[in-house]
Amino acid sequence: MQKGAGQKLIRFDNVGLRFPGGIDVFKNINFSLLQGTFHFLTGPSGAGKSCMLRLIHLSERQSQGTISLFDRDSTTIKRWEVPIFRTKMSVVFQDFRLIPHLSALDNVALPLQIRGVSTHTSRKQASELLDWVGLSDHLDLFPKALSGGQMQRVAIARAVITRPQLLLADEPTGNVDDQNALKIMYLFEELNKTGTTVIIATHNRSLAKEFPYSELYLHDKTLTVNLPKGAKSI
Amino acid sequence: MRKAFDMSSEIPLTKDPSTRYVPWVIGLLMYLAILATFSYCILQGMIGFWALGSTQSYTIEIPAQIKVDASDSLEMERRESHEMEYIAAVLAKTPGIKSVEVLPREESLALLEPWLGSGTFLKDLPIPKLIDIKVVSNLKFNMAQLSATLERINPHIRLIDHRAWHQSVASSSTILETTLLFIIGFIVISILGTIAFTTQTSLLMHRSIIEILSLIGASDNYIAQQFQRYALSMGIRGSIIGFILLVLTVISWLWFFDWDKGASFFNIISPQISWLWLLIGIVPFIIILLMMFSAHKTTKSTLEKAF
Repeated sequence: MQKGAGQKLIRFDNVGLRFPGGIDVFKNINFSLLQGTFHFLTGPSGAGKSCMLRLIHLSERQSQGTISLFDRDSTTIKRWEVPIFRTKMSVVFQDFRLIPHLSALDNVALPLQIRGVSTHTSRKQASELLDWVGLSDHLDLFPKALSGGQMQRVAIARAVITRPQLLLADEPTGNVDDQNALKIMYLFEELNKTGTTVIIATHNRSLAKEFPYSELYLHDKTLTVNLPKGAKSI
Repeated sequence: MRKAFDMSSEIPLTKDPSTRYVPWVIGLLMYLAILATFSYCILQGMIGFWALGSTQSYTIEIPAQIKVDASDSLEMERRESHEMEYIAAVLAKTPGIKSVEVLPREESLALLEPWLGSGTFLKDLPIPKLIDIKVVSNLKFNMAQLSATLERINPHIRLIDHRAWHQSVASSSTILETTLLFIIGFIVISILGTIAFTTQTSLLMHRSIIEILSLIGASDNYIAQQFQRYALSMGIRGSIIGFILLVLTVISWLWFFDWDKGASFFNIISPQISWLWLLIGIVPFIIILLMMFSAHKTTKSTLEKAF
């Protein structure tokens, strides 16, 4: 049993998001996720998966309802506290968001350096992680020289290097073939085994069905929770 | 060298095409600030030198007596000699006097030459006798008492206090000093404005990188520190440029005027402003600190508004 496992990490109470102009992305969303669990957030394109991840990552504010993160009402989190919360979670962005003038190694080492880890230690750990994602021969390459799949793996390595309590991944398999998609999923599973709560946003419901984890299905502005066989709750 | 100053790694501030010439602008402004500080020091040195010479020195002016004929001449010389002996005795008894020097007639005539020329008629010109007095300190010397004693000897004798002249020079130089300080202040404001503007431009140009840093947990302080370090590197480079240009300026001044006179001028004023030379080092240091503060503050306030 991992430390903190079983504690509520995220809780949505009647959460709604409305864009300027009055368009509702979703409304009255209710769910809670425990620490150390694994979830898929699925739904058709434009259903609001990325928006939901942004709400969790404190990049956006909900229009209604309450979001509780790490036992704290998100509306009470002050601007200066946001980086503190963000150090507890990591995001794998759909568009990778790698820093173009930094090498793969430096991109992966960056979150540790931001947290005050020495350059030597952070680069050593980054090198090990890039080896883990199969990019040990690409340490000094810049993002421009990497393929979509390679950039995706660098982005994943950057997200997991800090061993976050919560990992949010937005379409992490969107740019890779099926074989590499499975490899990436196994990486997330390994991370989950160390106690990290993982939320994978994907439009690929068949991928979600291949794994025994709960599915948060966003459609028609509402959320449906599909539990894996035999499970009683998420 | 370039690598040594390139202290920011995540945000490529040194590669901004829009801010490429900013370090040179900062260098030029820093030069002007150092030059203005240097001029302020020189001015202080000159005032100090004048003050030393004038506030502790007095002149006794004994009016010349007009000769009517040759027989008068002998009697007048005897009387003058007697008067001088008496004044010398009075001065010897007066407390607080360090030295007494009777100015030779030739020197007095030399003082008049620029206005009257060097014609032979000067020899017969009745000119006052001058006695230069240096006092130990103005506190120990009673000018009013000496003036009264001299008046009793000869009511036409004048005791001239140079402090009045010094006062008028000092008040004129205060205007000059204030102007120099105003110029230094204006340059500092210009530098800070340049830094604030450059920081804002860089924040806009590197918005996407800053957003990534923020999303992966970088605090505003962390991002601001990168801009602060860049301001530090620009400040150091600017100071070096400023000092090099100052040395070149001083050398060209000395070259243009007179090397020996310039060197002796610096020798004369240096003792008056020994501690003030520190200002030339302190002013750029303070400007660099203000630049770092400006970069930090601008970054934080811009981030608060933008993100």
